[in-house]
Amino acid sequence: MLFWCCCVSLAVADDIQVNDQNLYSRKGADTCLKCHDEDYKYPIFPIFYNKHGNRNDPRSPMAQLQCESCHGPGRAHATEPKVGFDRAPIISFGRNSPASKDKQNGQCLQCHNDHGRQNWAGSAHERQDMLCVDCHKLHERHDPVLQITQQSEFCYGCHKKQRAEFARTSVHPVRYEKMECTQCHNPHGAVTDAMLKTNTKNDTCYRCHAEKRGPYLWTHAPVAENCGLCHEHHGSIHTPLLKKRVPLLCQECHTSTAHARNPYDGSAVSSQSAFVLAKGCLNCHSQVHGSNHPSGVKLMR
Amino acid sequence: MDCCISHFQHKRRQWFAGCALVCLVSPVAAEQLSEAEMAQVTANWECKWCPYEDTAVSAGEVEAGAGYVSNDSYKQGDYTGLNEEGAYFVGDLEYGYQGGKGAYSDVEAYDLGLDSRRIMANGGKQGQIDAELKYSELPKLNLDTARTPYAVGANQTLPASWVAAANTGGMTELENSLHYADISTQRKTLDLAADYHQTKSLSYGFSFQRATKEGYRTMGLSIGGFAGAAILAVPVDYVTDQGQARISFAKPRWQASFSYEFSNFKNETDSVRWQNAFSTPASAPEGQASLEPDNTMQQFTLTGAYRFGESTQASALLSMGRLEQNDGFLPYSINGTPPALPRSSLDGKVNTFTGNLTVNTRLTENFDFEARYKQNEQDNDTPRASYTYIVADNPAASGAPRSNIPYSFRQRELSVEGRYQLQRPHKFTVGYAYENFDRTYQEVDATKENNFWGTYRNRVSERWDWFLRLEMDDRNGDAYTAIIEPGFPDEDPLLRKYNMADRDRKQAKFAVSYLPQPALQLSFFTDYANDDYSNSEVGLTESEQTNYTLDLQYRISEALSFNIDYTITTMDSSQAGVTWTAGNDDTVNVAHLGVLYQVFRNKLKLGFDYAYADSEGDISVSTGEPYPTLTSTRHTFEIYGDYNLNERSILHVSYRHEEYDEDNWAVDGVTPNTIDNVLTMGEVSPDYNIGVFAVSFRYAF
Repeated sequence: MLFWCCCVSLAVADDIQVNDQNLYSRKGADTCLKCHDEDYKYPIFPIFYNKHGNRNDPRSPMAQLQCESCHGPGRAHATEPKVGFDRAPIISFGRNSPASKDKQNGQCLQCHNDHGRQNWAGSAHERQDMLCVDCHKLHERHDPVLQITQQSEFCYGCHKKQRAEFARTSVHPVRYEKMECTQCHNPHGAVTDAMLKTNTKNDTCYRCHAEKRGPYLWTHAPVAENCGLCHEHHGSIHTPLLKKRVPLLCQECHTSTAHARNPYDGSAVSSQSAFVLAKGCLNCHSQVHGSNHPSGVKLMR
Repeated sequence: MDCCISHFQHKRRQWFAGCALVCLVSPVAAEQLSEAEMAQVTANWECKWCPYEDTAVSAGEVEAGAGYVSNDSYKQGDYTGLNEEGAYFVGDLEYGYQGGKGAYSDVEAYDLGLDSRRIMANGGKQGQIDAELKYSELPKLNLDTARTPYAVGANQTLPASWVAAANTGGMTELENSLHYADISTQRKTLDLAADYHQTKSLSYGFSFQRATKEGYRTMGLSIGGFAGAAILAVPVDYVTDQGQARISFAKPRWQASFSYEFSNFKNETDSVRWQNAFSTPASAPEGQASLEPDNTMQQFTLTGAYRFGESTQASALLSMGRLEQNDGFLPYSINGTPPALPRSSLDGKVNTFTGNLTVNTRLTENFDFEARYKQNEQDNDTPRASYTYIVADNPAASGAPRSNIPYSFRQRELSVEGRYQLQRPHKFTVGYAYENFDRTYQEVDATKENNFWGTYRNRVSERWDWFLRLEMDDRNGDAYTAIIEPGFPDEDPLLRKYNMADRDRKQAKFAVSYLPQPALQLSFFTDYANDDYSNSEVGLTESEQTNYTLDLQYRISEALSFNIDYTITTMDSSQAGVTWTAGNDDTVNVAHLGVLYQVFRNKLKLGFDYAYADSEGDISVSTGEPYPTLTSTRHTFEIYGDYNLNERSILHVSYRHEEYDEDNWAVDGVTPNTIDNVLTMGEVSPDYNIGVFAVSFRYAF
């Protein structure tokens, strides 16, 4: 069975066939750098200034099989092909690579199998056949997707709806490059909704808005359940990231025989109604996230 | 995984089909040699052409210059710090050092001349210990047009000359007493973190963060119920400490992590007290409100994943925590002699639990299957007591006593999903999820939700790729029983709160991508979601959202690239009151245009970006005229250039121009005394036209 397995190439039709000998190069990176030098069209040298290229870390690829840790055995690739034949392939990365998604990502997951990526298998991005290199650039000194100034542009490549949400007037500061998508989400997969880094959506919000966590004496029931019942988490045209304006937002759930029951149409603007202008319902009921005042049952204290 | 390294594959092609299955299902591929094998392979590898070995190297880039903001605007400075007219310092720094034996350090600093600055430093010995220090500031600038007659702070008084009246029109000293209040906050965050890798598979992590948020926010507060309210500038003085300690194991087949997490929130100002600007009620000359109480969170979390064979993986998360809050209570009323409290503080306690288990397996080469169970619950263990209700600090008005309600809930979801690849271009996914949501003390004991979805993806060719997702969701609840509390008005019996109401949800997404040539990509994305609350006669009855996006990216040449996108989003909803109906129709248009041109290779780079966003919000109510339309429009143009003076130096010049205008009926034309019974701050909607010019010099070393 082992022998049978050992016969395996990486795939049948679409996958790369590892070179005939599957032997490693004779001189490691020195073999590769003969051709892939500083004038090569895809700059590779910055890798020596990032963590992958640091040979002092026994976990780094450069401390192990050097370039071939990721690109696979390269002796045949380094051998000048016979006239009329192509150079033997090596594991390359990217959408145009003959190596399969599993092969490419598997190279990364050999080492990056820690708790932050343990849910990659079956995650939304894995199901969409995403490659690690769709987002990450391993040879650059600073991987652009890890930079707060550039990350969102990578995400917007697919998440176009979210790009538009962050362009609205009331937003979390992603478009100002003060917040990253990965501040809330784990793109490598999570067992939580929307691949959130915390257990629940509210836990995510409380990391920056801990004052709303409570528990309060007078709890506004939907608050503890889901901030998203009233707020749009990426952005809204209604400040502060609300789903709609008050009083109609409040009137979706409050219809008691007091003033919450009454209709307030556009004439309430011209008649200068306290139920509509300024903060509307929140002119008095300002403690919408809960109150800890003994007389705060109506969220006015 | 040595199976992927074949010495014999050229002789065994007939076995490929069967063998390939084994490797295809393997999420981890390729060569993992033993240490002895690796030592043998690399015995003669010198890496002599590698740029460095054990010698120290360092490199960095420093940028310094000046910028100029043409006008004042809080909205423009929100999050950016570019709110004041005048010059500012442009200062950025990046520095990296790699010493021998794995020592390293990096320092990055951005926007040093602005209130939105951030500084990061990390260092350590790679593979053994990493330490990180981060500091950042974030301005949230809300209003600079707000005016108040109060001396702002935790105890707000009116001028001695103040003339109280029954309504704002009678407050004759109002205009003379108004002064601007700065409604903004500044968040400062300090992060410390360290990771220690004891072995390749065992590591420890520690992190600590202190975040402070200081400034003022607005808050509407009334005295005596509906007699009169004032919008006050209320102090924000928060300190939040949070941290985590973690131990992690990572082996090829399994990973596990155990962590302890805490968060302590402290509000340095626990209440606000203010003088009544109104003459009524006579028994309530002052008001006092509580601000957010101190609270704590602690949580233990265990996560793990295990790979069974090469095609099946299970992962799990188990988390238990506790939220606590025990800030001392304020009296029932600041006026008169309030009755005794049933207890001096809440002793609020909520136990939290989250459990997730996911199993996914590749049953055949073409078929994946996943099953997932999720549970999230909050068990509110806060003691109940009966509290007297004194209406907004008016000792002459009290309502029936009321007991606090410790709401608890439990959310459980079981889902299964199958993914089938028919032939290479065709990929199907179908899934089903069942959710049960239990709540206590609420109108519906439990809701049950059935969710079905399916996706189809077709990579027609290297040029065409399209994707479709359809989803249906049906939520039904137990009997809706209105909560009746003695002494308080009841909600309408026909009301169905939308988070518990019966709901039919339909969603669809479609995306198509076309590459007519490698340098040109066109894509179209649309999605649609409709929530129908058909059994809700009062409350939210329907909501619908559509989104259309067009994208074009074109790399015209090595030197010139171009991108443009446009998105239109509509968000409509209908709701019903007892005697009326209303509709909300929001529309948002967003567009971006970008051009990047390398005029001379490695010599001059020019760029142009344009962003456009406009929104309209229309509200209609069946009983009368529609609301004025809410609008916002933003145009942002930016042109920039980088000129390489030499190999190490770049001259950067940029000009950014932004126009913004907003119409908001809630505040436009509303002066502090416009509303009879609410003393407002009279702010105006932002409307600005601002240029920001910057020139800076970058030097790489």
